[in-house]
Amino acid sequence: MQIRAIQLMLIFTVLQSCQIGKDDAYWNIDTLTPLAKSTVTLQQAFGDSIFTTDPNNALSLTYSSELFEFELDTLLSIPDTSTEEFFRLPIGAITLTPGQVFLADTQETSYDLQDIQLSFAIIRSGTIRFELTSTLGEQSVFLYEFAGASKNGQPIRISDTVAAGSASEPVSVIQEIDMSGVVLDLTGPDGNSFNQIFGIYQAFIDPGGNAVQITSSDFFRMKIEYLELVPDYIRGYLGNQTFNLEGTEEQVEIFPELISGNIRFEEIDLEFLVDNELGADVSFSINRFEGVNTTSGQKETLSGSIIGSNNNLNRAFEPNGATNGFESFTSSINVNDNNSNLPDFLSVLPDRISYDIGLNINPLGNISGGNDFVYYGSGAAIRANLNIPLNAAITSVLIMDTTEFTWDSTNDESINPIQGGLIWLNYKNFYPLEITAQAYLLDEQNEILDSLFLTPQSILPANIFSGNKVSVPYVGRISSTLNKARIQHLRNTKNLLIRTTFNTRPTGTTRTIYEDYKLDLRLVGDLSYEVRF
Amino acid sequence: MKYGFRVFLVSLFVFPYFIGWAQSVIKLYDFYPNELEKGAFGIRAELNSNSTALTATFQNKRLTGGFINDAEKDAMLSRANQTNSTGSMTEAAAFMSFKPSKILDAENSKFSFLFLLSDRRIQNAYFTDQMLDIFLNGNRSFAGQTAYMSPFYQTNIGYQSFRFMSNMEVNDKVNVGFGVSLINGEQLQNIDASTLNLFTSEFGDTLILEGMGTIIISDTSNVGFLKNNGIGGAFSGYINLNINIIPNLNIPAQLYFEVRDLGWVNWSSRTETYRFDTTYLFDGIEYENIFDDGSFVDDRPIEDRIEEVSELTVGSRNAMLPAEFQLRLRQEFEKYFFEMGTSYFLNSNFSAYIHGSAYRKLNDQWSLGLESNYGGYGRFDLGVGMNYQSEHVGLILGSRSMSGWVNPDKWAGQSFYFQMHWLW
Repeated sequence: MQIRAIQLMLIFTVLQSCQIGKDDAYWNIDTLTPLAKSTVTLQQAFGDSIFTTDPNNALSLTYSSELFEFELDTLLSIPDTSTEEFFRLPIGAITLTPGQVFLADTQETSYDLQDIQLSFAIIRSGTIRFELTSTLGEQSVFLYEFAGASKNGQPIRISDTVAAGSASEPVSVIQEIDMSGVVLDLTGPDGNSFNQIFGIYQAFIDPGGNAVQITSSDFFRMKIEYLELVPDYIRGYLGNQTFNLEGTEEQVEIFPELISGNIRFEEIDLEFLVDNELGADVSFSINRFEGVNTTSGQKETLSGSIIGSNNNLNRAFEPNGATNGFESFTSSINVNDNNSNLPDFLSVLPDRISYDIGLNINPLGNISGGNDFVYYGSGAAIRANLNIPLNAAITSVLIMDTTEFTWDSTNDESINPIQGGLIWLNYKNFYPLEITAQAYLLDEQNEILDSLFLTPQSILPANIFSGNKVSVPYVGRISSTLNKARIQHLRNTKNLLIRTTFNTRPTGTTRTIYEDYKLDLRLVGDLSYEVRF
Repeated sequence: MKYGFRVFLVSLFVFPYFIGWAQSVIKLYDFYPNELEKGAFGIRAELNSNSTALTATFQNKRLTGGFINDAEKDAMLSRANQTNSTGSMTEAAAFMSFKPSKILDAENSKFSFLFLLSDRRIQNAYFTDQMLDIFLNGNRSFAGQTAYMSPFYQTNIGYQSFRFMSNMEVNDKVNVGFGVSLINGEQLQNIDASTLNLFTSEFGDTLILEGMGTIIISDTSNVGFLKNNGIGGAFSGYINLNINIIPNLNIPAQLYFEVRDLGWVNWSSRTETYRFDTTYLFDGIEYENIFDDGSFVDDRPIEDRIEEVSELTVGSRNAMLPAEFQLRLRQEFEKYFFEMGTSYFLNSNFSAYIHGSAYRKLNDQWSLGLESNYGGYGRFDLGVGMNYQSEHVGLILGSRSMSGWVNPDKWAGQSFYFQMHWLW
């Protein structure tokens, strides 16, 4: 498109606008035309946000990722529960007068939370469902009061009426209560239990009704269900629990564009930042930490003093008192090339990490006297912060990218103005890296039709004449021959697969990459072009 | 008649698409009947094409199509001077003239009248040799250099005129004619670039186009034969003097001066005028981040960018017609007649044109002649001509430039004129 545009500019096609309905005179011209330009940096390849610079403007690559997070729902899950209370005469018959109580008791729902002993909770969401069923021949009234429960400072009382029924046609009433925001005392009627919800209820004949005779075939049933209760806050003893957390971080984008190769970094720093938001002591150990390059298949397991060692974390605390927020306890563990094989670990350019982490809640038991706490959404998390100074020996690091390609918007084979020539890639390379490039022309099925270069072409590295920094770029150019066959292949190309390999030269030499390094690229068409006039 | 009409149609529709150049062969004065006749009508077509740089081969292939090879390009470049011109003029016309003194009750009238309907197309350009080199070979050979392509002027104008003229026989020695034309402006394309330089960097990664000038284009949505894109008017006039310049010869010479189409066209309100005065650097479409598909900083086509650096106004615009001036001196003898003259076109990148011709009268009806000329859009050239005149039928046929036919690969002049008329 651009080539055509330049041609238009050069020959002033205004001249030919009057040439209608006749054959054209045509000839070939040789044009030298800029097509495209770009400045390429490593920051672009990896994303600007993951780079930092030191005072000398040397680049460091930083990467931060949360490896895992251990939250309240892992620690505590409240099961749905259901209890029933019945009134039924064993034998004979009696007459109940209006206002006469025929069912009254306390009702306790105890949760089996194994080692966890909760004394207090604020409910985030959930429902209590009452189902009242009666065969009594007169309307009944039902009252229920939660003991030790309140919402917005008010006690929670439930009342309902059940219409007269019969043994053949029992009458049922269902009432559901939203439990969000409900504050629960879980210590039971005596105040010294755990995990218990406690209520008082009674049922009686409607005082405005009539006396009714009931027999052994009549009954009154109360069914209470606690459904999907999610706590917003809990307090008590969280138990001594051990978790073995194995996982895989599927997309570790430390080197998102790098496919394979080897980079030998120096002075790498890996920090495991552990954050304990639980109101309970925690200890953890990293038992296994393995990096995998899924493209090359290379694996490397992190080794060193961190692996297998136990790390204790203090509990979070509530500086403003219970339920008024918390401050977590944070601890870090540093891994570097002195205390681990971190350079080896990163040299495989891992894009997936698998881990095995052991976690122990309250390793010393109930030392808080039942005052552990957890807020909804909080837990314990381990984040890996990686800082890699770009001071490395790079060997055969491969970057591949596929991009859509269209030769011409019309793609009309009858219009074939380009007769052949060269496509030049003029470059100024400030990087002390040799970059070898090849582009493959892919059809709709992504089958390779052709390559842009006969053989991969190299962008040569800048030389370092003094110190450790490039001051003069390497200026050069590489070319691709466009013949008729390749032009035809370009017409049929739907995608371009660009394959680029990076090496520091001489092989194995460590080079520092600075922020102002760049690779200036200019694509130039040196083409024989058919002009019609 | 049928044949003549065909020729007229062919002239009207085909010749306008031919390029090249020269000037009107037949004087306006010649359209009138002579003293013995009542009137005349006829058709005529004229094609003149020439260039100081382009060759006839190139011009012809523009008409017929075909590949211009390197030898043909080299031939043009070797002909080129630092500045060059090319031009063509085609005209197809039908006319009718009469003498009131012969057909009306106006025996004493000294007037004759002429109606002339014509289609005229003129294309011309003035360009440098480096412009031609870029045009034919591209900018590759200018790597690391600036191609100086200015001054560059180019005009392509097509119009139809309906001309009414009157000839007055002042006395037996002086005739004057004057008339007006109504002009239908069909199309206009005009480039006037006083500065047009193109720098190509050594490795082709930068082009710098420095330009200053104006481009005028009539309504591009209304293109075709007889389309109306402007209305105008023109004046034409002449004076013919019979003077004796050779002692003892009783046939006077004719000294003739003519102005034709001195006028203008008011091109319509849809006429586009681009003014540019800029230095434009193009170094490729910029991709901000090649790792991010579609991260073009600026992916507009260069046509749009050029539009951006020019100032476009759309509106009606007056433009002068390429008025023609002729001065001729003709002397007849018993068996010969000779003519010499000069002509010039205004606003047409035309250099002064001089010509001379000699005709041999074979008998009362036939005469044959040769012509030589220099200037205009070409250089030295030769032509031939033939006149036939019977009692009622006249035929004029010839060529003022034949070099392009003789050696089309080296020269450019091609000319053909034809007129057939009937007298009564």
